[in-house]
Formats: sequence, structure tokens, C-alpha cells
Amino acid sequence: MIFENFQLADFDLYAFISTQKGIIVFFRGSWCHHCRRQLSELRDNFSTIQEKGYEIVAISNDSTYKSSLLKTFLHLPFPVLADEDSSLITKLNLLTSYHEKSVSKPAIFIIDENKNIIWQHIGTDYDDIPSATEIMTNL
Amino acid sequence: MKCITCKKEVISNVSIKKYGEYFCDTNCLSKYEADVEKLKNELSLDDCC
Repeated sequence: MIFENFQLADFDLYAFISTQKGIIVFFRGSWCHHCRRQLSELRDNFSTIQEKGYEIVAISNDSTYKSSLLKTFLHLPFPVLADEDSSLITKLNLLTSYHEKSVSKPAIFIIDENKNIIWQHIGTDYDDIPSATEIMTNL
Repeated sequence: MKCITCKKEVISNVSIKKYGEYFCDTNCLSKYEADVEKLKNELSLDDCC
């Protein structure tokens, strides 16, 4: 399982997907307008997503501080985790460069109750980001 | 527990908990809130140009 044994700060990602269905969102960073829009859409649909039995976690290689600022700024009701050394992002082959910065490609993984990936989308460019509606049709 | 702003260990009887985070004092909280406001002006290059 690709998310096995990954702990980001004090958040155990494997435990998260072991106990519930999950949507794991990789985004480029707090500065990315497209990412902010997607995260805001997921926030606005969060109760519907929870009714379907899913929880959300968002991950970038921003610092813990920046991740917290973004969570507060967008009023996100789900965890925003910092993969500060890009270890998970690298393991998943999501690391790319953007204006001399190393960032994650935008990506979504939907995990079922058996820890299988039932749908994924890995963006080919910075604006190749599925809407919340598209994500929700795959739950 | 560590203060999200300065990363120092917080002292439980004087710390502040807000936004789901711990802060040493009002100075660290104020800096955090100012940095949240700054995010409004941070845009990626593909958004602004």
C-alpha cells in the first residue's frame, strides 16, 4: 500500500486510511490560486463528502506553519499536512519543479475502506485539477 | 506542545489555543493572524501574469 508507514508531523496517514475511507489531496502550496479554489470547493462540500463516509486530508511540501496559515485562511475543516522534506511526495513520484521550487503535482487519491485506491488523478500541469464535483462523482 | 509561530514549547497555564493551534502569548498569536492576512496577497506567477 503506497501510503503505508507514513507519518507527517504527528498525523499518521496510514492510521487515517485504515479507519475510514479517505480523499488525499496533494497540492502545490499555499500560494497556488488553483489549489486554494479546489480546497475551498472541498470545504464547501465537506458535509456531503462526510455523509458518504469519507474524510479529507490535504498535503503539500509547505512548512507546517504555512500549512496551518492556509487552513486558517480558508477555514478548512480537514487537516492540512506538511510533507516538509517531500518524502511522501517523492515516493509517489509527484515531485516536480515550478519556477525553481520543488512542489507536488496536484493529485487526488480516493481510498476505500479496504485501503485500495479506487480513483486517482495526477495533474499534468498546474491547472489540471479536478473540481469537487468531479471528485464527488467518484466516491 | 509547541507554539505554531515560534516553535518553542508552550507553558500550559499561559498559552493560548486558537485556530486549533497553540501560541506562547498574544505576540505569537498576532504574528500568526498577520501572516494569515498576508496570504491574501500571495499568488502564484501563473495567476498574476
